[in-house]
Amino acid sequence: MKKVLQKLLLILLCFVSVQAFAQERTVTGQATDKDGLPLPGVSVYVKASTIGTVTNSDGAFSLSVPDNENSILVFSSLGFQPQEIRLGNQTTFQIALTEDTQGLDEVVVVGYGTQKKANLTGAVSTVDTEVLEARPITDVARGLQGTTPGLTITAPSGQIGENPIIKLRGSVGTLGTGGGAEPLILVDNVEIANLQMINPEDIESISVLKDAASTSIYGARAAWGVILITTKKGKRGTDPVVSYSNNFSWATPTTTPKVAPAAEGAEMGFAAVRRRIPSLESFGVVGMYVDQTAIDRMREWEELYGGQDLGPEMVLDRDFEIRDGRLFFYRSWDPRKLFVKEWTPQQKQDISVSGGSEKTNYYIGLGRLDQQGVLKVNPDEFVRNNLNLSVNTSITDWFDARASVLYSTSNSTKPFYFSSQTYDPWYYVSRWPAQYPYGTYEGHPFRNHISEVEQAKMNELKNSSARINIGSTIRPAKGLAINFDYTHDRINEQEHQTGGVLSAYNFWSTGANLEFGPYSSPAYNRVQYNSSLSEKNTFKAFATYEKNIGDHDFKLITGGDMEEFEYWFHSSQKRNLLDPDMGEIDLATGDMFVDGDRDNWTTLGVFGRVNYSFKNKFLLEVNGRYDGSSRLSSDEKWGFFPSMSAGYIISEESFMDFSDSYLSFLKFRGSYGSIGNQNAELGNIYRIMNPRSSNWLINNQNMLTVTTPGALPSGLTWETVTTLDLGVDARFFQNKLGMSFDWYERAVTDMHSAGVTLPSTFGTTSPLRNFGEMKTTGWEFELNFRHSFSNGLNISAVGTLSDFKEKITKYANTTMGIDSFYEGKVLGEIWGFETDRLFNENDVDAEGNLVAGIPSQELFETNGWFFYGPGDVKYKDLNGDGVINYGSRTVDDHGDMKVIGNSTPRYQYGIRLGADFKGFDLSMFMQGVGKRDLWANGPVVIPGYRYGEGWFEHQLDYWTPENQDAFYPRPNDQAQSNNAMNFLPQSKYLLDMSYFRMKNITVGYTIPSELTSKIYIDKFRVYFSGENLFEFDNLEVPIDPEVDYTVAGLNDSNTFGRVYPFTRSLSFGVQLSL
Amino acid sequence: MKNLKIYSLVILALAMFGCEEDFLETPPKDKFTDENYWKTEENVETFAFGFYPEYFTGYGSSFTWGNYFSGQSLNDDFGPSNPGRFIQQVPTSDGGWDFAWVRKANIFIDRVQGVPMEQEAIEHWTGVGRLFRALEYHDLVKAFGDVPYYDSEISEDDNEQLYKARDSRTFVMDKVLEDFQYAADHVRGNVSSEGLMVDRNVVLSLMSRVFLYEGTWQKYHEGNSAKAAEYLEAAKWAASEVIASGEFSLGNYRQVFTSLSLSGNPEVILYREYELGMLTHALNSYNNKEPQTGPTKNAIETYLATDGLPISISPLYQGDLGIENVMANRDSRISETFVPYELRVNGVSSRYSTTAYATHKFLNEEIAAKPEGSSNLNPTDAPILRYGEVLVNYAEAAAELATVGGEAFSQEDLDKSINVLRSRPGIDLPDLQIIGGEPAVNGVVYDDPARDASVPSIIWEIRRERRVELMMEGFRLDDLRRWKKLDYLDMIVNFDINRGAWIVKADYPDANLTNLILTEGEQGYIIPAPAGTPRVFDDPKVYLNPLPLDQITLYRDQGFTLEQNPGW
Repeated sequence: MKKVLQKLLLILLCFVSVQAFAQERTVTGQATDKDGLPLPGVSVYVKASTIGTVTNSDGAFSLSVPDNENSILVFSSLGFQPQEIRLGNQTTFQIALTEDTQGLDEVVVVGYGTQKKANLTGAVSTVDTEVLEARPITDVARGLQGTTPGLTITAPSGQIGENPIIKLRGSVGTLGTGGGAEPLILVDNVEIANLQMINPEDIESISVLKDAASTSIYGARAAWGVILITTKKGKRGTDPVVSYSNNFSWATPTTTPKVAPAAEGAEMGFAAVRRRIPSLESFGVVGMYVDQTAIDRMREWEELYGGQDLGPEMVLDRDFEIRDGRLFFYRSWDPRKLFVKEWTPQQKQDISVSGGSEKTNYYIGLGRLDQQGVLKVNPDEFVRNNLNLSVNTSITDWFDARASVLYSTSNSTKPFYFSSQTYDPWYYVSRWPAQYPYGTYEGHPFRNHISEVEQAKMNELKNSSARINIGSTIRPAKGLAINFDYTHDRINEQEHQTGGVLSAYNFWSTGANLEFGPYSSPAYNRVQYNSSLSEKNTFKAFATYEKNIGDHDFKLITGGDMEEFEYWFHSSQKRNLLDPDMGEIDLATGDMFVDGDRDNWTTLGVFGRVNYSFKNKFLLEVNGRYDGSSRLSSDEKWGFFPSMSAGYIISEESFMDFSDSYLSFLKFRGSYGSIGNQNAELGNIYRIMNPRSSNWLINNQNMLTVTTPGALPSGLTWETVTTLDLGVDARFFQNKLGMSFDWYERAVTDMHSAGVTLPSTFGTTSPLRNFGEMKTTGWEFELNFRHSFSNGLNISAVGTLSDFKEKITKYANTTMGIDSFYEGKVLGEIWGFETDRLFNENDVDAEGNLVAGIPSQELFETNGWFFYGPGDVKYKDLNGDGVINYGSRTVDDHGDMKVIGNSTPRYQYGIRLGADFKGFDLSMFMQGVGKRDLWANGPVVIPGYRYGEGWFEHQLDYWTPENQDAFYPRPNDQAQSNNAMNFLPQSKYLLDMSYFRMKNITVGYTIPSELTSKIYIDKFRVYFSGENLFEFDNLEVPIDPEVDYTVAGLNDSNTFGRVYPFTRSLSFGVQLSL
Repeated sequence: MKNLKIYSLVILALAMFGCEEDFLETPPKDKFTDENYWKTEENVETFAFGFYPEYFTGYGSSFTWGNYFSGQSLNDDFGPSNPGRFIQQVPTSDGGWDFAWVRKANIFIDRVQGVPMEQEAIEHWTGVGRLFRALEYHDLVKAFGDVPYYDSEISEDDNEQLYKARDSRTFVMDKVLEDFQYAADHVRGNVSSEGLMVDRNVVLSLMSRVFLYEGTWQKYHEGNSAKAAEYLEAAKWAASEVIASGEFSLGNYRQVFTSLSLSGNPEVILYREYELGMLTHALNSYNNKEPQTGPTKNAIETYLATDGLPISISPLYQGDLGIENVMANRDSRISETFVPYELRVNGVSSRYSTTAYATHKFLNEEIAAKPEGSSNLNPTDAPILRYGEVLVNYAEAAAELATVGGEAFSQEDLDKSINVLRSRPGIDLPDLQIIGGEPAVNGVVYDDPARDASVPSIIWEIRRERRVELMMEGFRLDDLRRWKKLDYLDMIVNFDINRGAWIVKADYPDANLTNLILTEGEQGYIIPAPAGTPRVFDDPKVYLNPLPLDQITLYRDQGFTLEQNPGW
């Protein structure tokens, strides 16, 4: 490969020609339509300059231009396709403009081929790749958020170097297999395992195939749609084009929760715990105490020293105190300030060279991303390099050969965590109250996570992902092309972690007896290497045959593909480092631990497709695919899945001529078909006995054991995913305004689910079979508008809106518990109570009992100390039976509970506005979710979740006899529950996660080419861009509306909202091409 | 060139359709399946370790400490500020009604029969499997009473089995007894890792525990003397076999609970090994520097005076004004179990106890100040089965057996059990004697004035010995259940379980103790739980747990009946 690269570079260098300095020259001419009739009002201008004019009533023009034969003259007019002509040595131009069927002649990449957009019959969206340009986005998916109706892209946190979650037309998809409705992402027709592999700059086009009819040709794993990414290729017979672009950005965190001031927080905590233990004089958490004196002292400290910079050293009796053998802290800190940078830089640089001779074309793309994390000490960093090489050559007139390489390496470093991933430093930034000591005493730190990060060595994670593709196309006869492609993918990950020993005043266990010393678990004094390798071989072969007989156009495709995947993982750990600065396995003396993992699967399939069109008016497509997968029971591996789609371009009919003045194009289309979904869990097709540590030690060895085999599996075959899609595409007013609408219903039948509810006596989960059914219904709408004013101002607008709902239509669950899946359940639904109000003093009698007539909430007074009273939440007695209860928590008997919301994002939308004028351009991109609810967990959303830990500023508005209109109830020890006492799931405190976000604003200016051409630059654009600039939401708590549970955070949902922050960023850069 | 076209097509055809038949067969590479696992005795042993931490929890792992100390605190030994409650509501699902471990044991027993190994090995491992099945059924019966009994894996369409009615308690326990008898007959006497693997003495010790429970339950709850006698006989026999083995003897009491390694401890029959950086617990920490739930006045008063007499009649008892007096002239297990030199009052000490009496039974002083002495990093080994328990099991089984028609309870029985405990190194109590069926020390019959009148005097003393010896080891609630004495947990009737040490506030002039509630204002016994509704015992239904609603509904929907426990 290296040699090819060298050669290509040499060729490129030869092509870079020297351009001469030029005088002015006057050019004249006339613009006509294709029938030769003169066209007035056509703009004529020199590309990438401000030189231009407009044709007169005879279609004639005259223009003085720089005498540069490489200049490009552009002719454009509404309703016609713009035309570009190289100036050369001509002085007169006779131009016939062809009518613009805007976008309709556009060719769209579809499964195993291309299709004219006008002739599409399935549900296919194309993404305008402009949204990926000139933005400080790190991967394609982040760039796609909001661009395509039906596509849901979310990231649970702002963690750098992590792939977002992509879902298409649904969220859960099926209950049978994990992962949800995640589309298959193909780059140049082959699945890409890691989106980091593809540099957004190298992308030529993106199509999103949504319905079964469009995706079924990809079979096996394309049940949830396909995102088809095509990379840029050189064009044959063109001069080499060198493009360079960069982006420098600075990011700052968006909304994050803020811990309450020390005294106020302590007061809430004290009030809360005293409900449980009224006699309590003081309470402690991790060795630090709070009592009334301490609260007063905190207040005093704030008055005397608040806002001053006292340095890190803490002074005994000023900042903290030892009383009665206990440790009290008074000084407040803002760990976020100490820990998080206000602005963090990122830079991206990309360069590409492309071009081609008559028989060969090539593309070389190089990219580099350097992203810094927001930590102040030991900052995390993510660096990625991308290489994209492709070459395609015609060996004979019927034989093409091609090869391409996608290669990316990334290196991310971050400080070692002396705890689990679940409780990362972000969790600790807002875990403790404001008086938690982040300073030093006699030069040594108190135990805190900032000092832990300071003491940490850096973990290093290196990823290298490579894909090599070789392929050929043979054209043995006219209209027939046979393609072979072999792709080898390999992802290699190496991680190196060095732990160590943490030292501090570990007051967590020593309390007031302050002794500086080591405190971390010896399990962290270790070096660890993790390495994984995944390898995939994909072989595809297919033949296409095109035939035209009069008004009848036929296109046939038939072929097959196979995939083979293997995964290896290995990790080694050795404890007791001789020198923590040299964290290597050879330099440690302690216990050794190793771990491993192995996986593989295969798929095989054959497919065929017939396209037929009559007069480009009636369109029909029929697909069939026969699929086999190794992830299904032995005798049930194969399935056949047919689909079809049809379209009718009614605007082509003569009887529609009357509407030509406003309706330019109208097409009805529909598709129906099925596709198989595989990927059963191994445990559902084999009686797996999984090895694991028993946690029973014998002589220092953790004895291995294996899990109990599951129930005898029944034969599991494919889940069938059937989609009915009805759509209409229309364009109006000479194609200026376009709209597209799709309605779909997707049914998953033969869903891998329990066939029957079995009693607990069965002793294990019911074996899965092809039983349940689920239905997703939704719609997608897109509107676009473009207009060019005669003065050269162009404007455009695109809006998208989509929605879906997922419902279980068949499921074996006779008990119909509301907490489980049942027939009729809308996925994401949240059951809870309706909040009435907060109780006040009139609601109780002298003994503190609720007065007559108020429904009893006794059912929730189970712990012996919490009794509803003034300031507590009063729930609504929806069924009017005089008590608040939940019945048997079943659909038929749910007491006063009801569905109070749904966590599925609804009404997702995106709006893109653009304008350009004389070299200036402006674009705005907004995106949002119309409706989404969440009953979250953890102290950020549940005040008093852990009374001893941090309370938050937004929770200060709590009920007291003086503040009866408070938002939050009277402080209480919620005992780590978001389903008890004052915080049973309920309407009032349900998070409204809907939002509207200004995703991006970019302002650019392209320097006129007459200026840049002097330094041999075809195009030079500078731009400024702002990402995530602002947003509107309805949240009562200060979290970013896009925040969700992270993968590690799911282990303990109390971490909610305390994750690596989302960021806003400002950036600038240049784009130039030679 | 023409040939190239043909070659290409041939390659295509070969690639697509010429691949091996089993291309789509990818069985799991790093996991076993039921079909390929059961090949060697070593595999059998590996599977068996899956049962260990479930039944031999010890001090648990990470921030837990099993049933030790406050891990089981709904009893009369503990005085928490928020006392535990009896189950109040019928659970909508789960509630412990789970047969996964029954299934696991049944699969194990079944698969062992086909493993190519010696008959002796098959019998040994069958015994081990039956032991775990027996333990699981004992737990189920303890919680629910009648439960459906299964001795094989059930197939998903076998509704007759799946929905069968609950088998009677005695039917199930007879099966458990058969399992234990089989295990006692076939499980090896010697295993490769003594004290860490199931051997015959482990089986017998557990047998004495399980059938002491069931025998006394049959006597006190069911009034079934015949069954009681049968089960108590089994318990007594099992304990006496362990005693007769001569393998165990008593050493230092506290070392059993504080050692970094219990390997070689003469008292320990089975223990769980803990190792820094591998598997650790947090029990030591909660005896060390954390605030803790303290023992009740009631528990403290159980300990005898050094003359072997209850405190109310012993001339040696110094009263309870001040910790020195409490600890003076007492059964020295009191100072092995509780901190003898100070009271830890809330408001004075940062590692206070709710009752000011603090537990240090599980504290290893040598690691107390090190990182492994705190947090969840404690590496002390946990005793699972110890000789002391077998001895009290023996004494009680023998004494109770005598009340249901068995052999008379004799001095000899006492001498091989309780009196062994009383002469443990470091414990120097006079022997307990039985004279005319009544307890006596130094030849003098006595009767504890604090005795529950419904409990015969000698049984009262045996129960005392059990409570003292096994203090904070998680037995107490089970003991009260089987003796039908949950009324001891009524905080109004038995108010001493909501009392701690006697405090005089004036003794702590520097501390703010305004919120410390004492029985007599400025001085008196600490009331650890002064607020909230006291726990009362007013409904015997809590002797058995409720069955989950969803299961009852499910049975009904399928045309079967699953009976709820009485009262729920």
